[in-house]
Amino acid sequence: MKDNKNQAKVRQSGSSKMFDFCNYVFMILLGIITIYPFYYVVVASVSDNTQLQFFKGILLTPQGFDLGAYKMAFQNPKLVRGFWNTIKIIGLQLPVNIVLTLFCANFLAAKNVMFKRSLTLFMMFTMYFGGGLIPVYLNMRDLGLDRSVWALVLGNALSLYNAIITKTAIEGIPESLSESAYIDGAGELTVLFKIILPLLKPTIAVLILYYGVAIWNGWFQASIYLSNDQLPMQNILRAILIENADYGTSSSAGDVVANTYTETIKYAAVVISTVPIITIYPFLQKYFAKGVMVGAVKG
Amino acid sequence: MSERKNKAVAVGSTTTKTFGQRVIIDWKRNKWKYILLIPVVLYFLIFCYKPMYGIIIAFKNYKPSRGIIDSQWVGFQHFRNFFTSRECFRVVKNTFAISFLSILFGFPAPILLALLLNEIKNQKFKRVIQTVSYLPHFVSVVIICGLIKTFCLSDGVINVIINFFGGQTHNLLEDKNLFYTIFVGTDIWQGIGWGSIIYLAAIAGIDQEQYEAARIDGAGRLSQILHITIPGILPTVTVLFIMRMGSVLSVGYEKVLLLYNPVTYEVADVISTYVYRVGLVNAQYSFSTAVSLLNSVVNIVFLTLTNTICNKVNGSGLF
Amino acid sequence: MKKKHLTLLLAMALAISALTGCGNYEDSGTASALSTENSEEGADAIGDSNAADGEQEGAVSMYGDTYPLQDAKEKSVTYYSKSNVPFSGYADYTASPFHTKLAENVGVDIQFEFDPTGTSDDSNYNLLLTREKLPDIILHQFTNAQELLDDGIIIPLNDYLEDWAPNLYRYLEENPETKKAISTDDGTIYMFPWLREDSWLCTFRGLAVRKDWLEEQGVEIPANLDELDSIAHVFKDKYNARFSTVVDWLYDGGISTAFNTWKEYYRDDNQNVHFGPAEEGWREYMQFMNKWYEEGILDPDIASVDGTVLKNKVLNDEIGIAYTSGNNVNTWMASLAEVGSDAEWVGILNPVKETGGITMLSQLDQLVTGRGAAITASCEDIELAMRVLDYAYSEEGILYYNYGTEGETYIIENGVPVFTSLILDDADGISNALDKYTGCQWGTAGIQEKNFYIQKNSQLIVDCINTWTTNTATAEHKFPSVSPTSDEGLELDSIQASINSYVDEMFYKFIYGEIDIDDDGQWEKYLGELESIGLTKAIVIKQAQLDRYNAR
Repeated sequence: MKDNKNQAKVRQSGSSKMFDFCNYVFMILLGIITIYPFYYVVVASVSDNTQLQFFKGILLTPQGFDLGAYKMAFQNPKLVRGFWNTIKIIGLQLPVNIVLTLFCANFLAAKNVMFKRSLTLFMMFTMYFGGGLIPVYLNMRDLGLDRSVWALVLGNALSLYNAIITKTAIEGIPESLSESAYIDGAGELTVLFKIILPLLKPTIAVLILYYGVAIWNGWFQASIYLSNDQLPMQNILRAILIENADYGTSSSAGDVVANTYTETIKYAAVVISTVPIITIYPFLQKYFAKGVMVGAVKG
Repeated sequence: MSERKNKAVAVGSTTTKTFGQRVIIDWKRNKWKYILLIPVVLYFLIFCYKPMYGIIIAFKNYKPSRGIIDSQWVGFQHFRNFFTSRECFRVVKNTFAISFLSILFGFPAPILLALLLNEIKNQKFKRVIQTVSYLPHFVSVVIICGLIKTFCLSDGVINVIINFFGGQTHNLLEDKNLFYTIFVGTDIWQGIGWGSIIYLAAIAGIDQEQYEAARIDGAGRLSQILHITIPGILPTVTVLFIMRMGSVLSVGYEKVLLLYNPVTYEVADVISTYVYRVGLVNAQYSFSTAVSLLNSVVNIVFLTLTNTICNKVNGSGLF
Repeated sequence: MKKKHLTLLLAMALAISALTGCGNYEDSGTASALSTENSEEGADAIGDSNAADGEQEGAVSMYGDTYPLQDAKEKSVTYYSKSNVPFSGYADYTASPFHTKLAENVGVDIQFEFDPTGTSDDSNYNLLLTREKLPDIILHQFTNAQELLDDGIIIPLNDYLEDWAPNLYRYLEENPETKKAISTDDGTIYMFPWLREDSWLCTFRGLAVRKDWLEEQGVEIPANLDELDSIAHVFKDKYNARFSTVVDWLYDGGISTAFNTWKEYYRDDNQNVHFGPAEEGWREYMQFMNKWYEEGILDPDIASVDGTVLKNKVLNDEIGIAYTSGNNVNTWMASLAEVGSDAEWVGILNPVKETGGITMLSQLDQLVTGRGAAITASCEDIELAMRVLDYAYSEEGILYYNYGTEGETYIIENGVPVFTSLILDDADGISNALDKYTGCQWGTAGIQEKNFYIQKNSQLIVDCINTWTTNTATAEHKFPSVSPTSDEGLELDSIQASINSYVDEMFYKFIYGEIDIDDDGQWEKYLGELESIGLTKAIVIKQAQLDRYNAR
């Protein structure tokens, strides 16, 4: 008996080791392939503008070294203001997003709720049918939200997609936990805040990431609802990209683009808009670790 | 009907109750769920339903200067234009093709990645790979397509390799047969890391004790994956799958626009790029709204179909 | 729409009551209300308002004919502009010398409004149109002017031009073709247009070749199509270089000039409308391109080449002949010079079959593009708005818009304005410097002078344009900027989109040899397909539009 088990263990670690090895190799290859676009952007952004234009092939090292593109981007007075505008929008919108998502998911995940079906359909209908740009805009204007950050914050208050993900996560929590709480006399709110929420940490991390990134990357709504001094950073970066777009195609002939960073500034803009997000992720990563549920059942 | 029965069973009564009575019981039980839902409902009413009348521009020849009410009514003209256009069949076919290939290959990829990542024991390595793998998601599609174009040139990297193996070189983006491969392949390249995040979160939520128990019973790693991890994330997978099917006609125009050209129109032209081109000739709010409406209807059909199937197969669905 | 009329009348009434004007002025107020009301009824209105005009003669202007305007300092005008966007380094227009000095020169406060930073489409403009109170002036591309007039968004200016916009009025009288081009089919003038002094300014693309390679091989610059063909072979054989371009640019020029065709509509000498890709010339053109493809002269990547890829190929000596803009040639030469290369690009004549021949169709932008500044129905002080806009067409205004301020940004040398180092040596580059101090780079409500372009650009670019405008007669054959009616738009737009994509697809199928261009059966099939998409219907509509245009 014991021999068999030991043999089994040895066989296991043999194929297990093989699997691990392959896995690591695969991950390394994947890492190389997926990091390349970003790597390319960083390398291009610190290259010399002219030399970059001559380069053929796979870019691996900077062509010349020139931080001029970054200098030029940061010299733009609107960029720094834009950064703080973005932070402001995130600060206002993110809590609204998370709270509404949790409330919505809590409802959607509940069992034995009489009007659940009708309310679910009520909400899902909006995922497929909408008024379009102009009626939505007119609506904001009528509500007095034009030229106000709240047009964005309230207008994007909830993503049903994210709510559905959260609902699924809540449904993954064993009913026994909440049931025993109810038996002990706990009310709905206590169950929600003391039992469900703590177990939702990975999901909340995902929500912060999804909503945060969406707000960070958003520019279109800002361009129609906000005045120039309220514009978030993404709009300013877009302006930089557009200004340095390929003038060969425009009929504004003779526009000699004398700016020496036409190519590299585009890449610098991408780096600037991406680096902050990348630095946030490590802080959220711990919530993706296993074992968040440890101790739950024992409770 | 079955809801009533359920209620009766739940409350442990053998007599069916009136509507009013059931509402009161429901309220007592779920009061807070409804109350907390109020801001959500308000959001939908004020910001989603209130402007919904705008759908009507699909039936008008809308001009912003004229306003919605005063724009000329054209009934189903835009729909007729779409269905009788030369491109109609082709763009619908292509949209489905790209979408299905995307789902077939692109949907499982992040799941696989999440499962494999989960098996990495070295936490540092795992974190690094995780971060690196989602980076392409943030690089704008314009730059990604610039890279793709460069790689696909007749004397670009890929062709150099092809040449090395004695093949014929040609610009790969002018090859009808390669468009789907390039398009879906690069989608996976760009999205696999970011897509795996949600599955990693789901895996993190699985009770560790299940794994302990399985190990004690002598289950191997593969067995653990098959019998614990996968069932554990199955609800998440199902829900995301249903929602993915619910956007089957929504192939965005930006990437296709950057990668296609008249040589590949036959396979690459999708509904959104076609509408974009028509809109270029004359800003056509109405036309794109009409086509959007059509898209939505088809998407909903797929959504409900998939949902029903999943309900039957899995017991779990969206609604 | 009734609501809009009420608002308009109220605005008029308010405007009138606010003025201490004399009786005559009140009359003009009534007349303008009348003419706006009547604009819906079409051509009759002009007759009526002309009658009212008679009463108006000798009307005393509020502000005078000279700049700065009298009595206007306390007033302000709101101005939404798609052009003249302040240099991006400025926080807003109040920091921009061009805008502030403009207000000073004109003598009134001008409150500008621009699209939000970073937008490049018309979303903002379309949302602007939904406002209750529009800005006094809107500067935009007016492709649907007739609709805007019918809906009462913008007002007709015919009655006021002579009195309140004397400079533009004079220009239009001296240039009847321009006057025709900026009016609607019934003769209504509705905007202060973006104009270029000379059609020379409307050409910016043409063929360019590697001159240094030609010199190396002892070959002359090609003067006709056969010679172009032989140097193409020289480039291929000796330097492994090809012909390339961004295919999006091929709609109105390139090798097609030799066959008197292009991808759009055009008119022949009898004012009949033709569609280039359905004519014999297009077939010959495709046969030629097919030949180049088979001989390896055509860049095999051409379908997916964009500006950046093209530049990269050029800089790496892979291209010997390119169809491109003067601006690009200049940029390429600058980059090449920076790395010390001997490469030299020059523009060459539009290809023609016979040496010394002229092409009927080569790249030429519309002289009048439909871009301009209109006055909206929300404007309460029409004279003021018109005076502001008219400035750009006055002698001093033309100088200001094109060159800036004398002594600061330009000086007069031999009777010709020349930019000073303030512009030429600006750290942000000439283009940005011009945005800071001048306003005629593109798309403003004003007149761009040929001298401006020459001053602003390098000699290389000017030489290119000179070359490319030598052997062409496009102006008489280009399809003009017509005013489509709403119904025409509905019918034509989706047909046109389908026609365009079919032409594009078949272009490649033919030149890549997938379908045999020499096979008559295939050519007939191609024409037949164009028919069934609706080409005849499209041509009929286009012909009607042209006829209306000619009858103006």
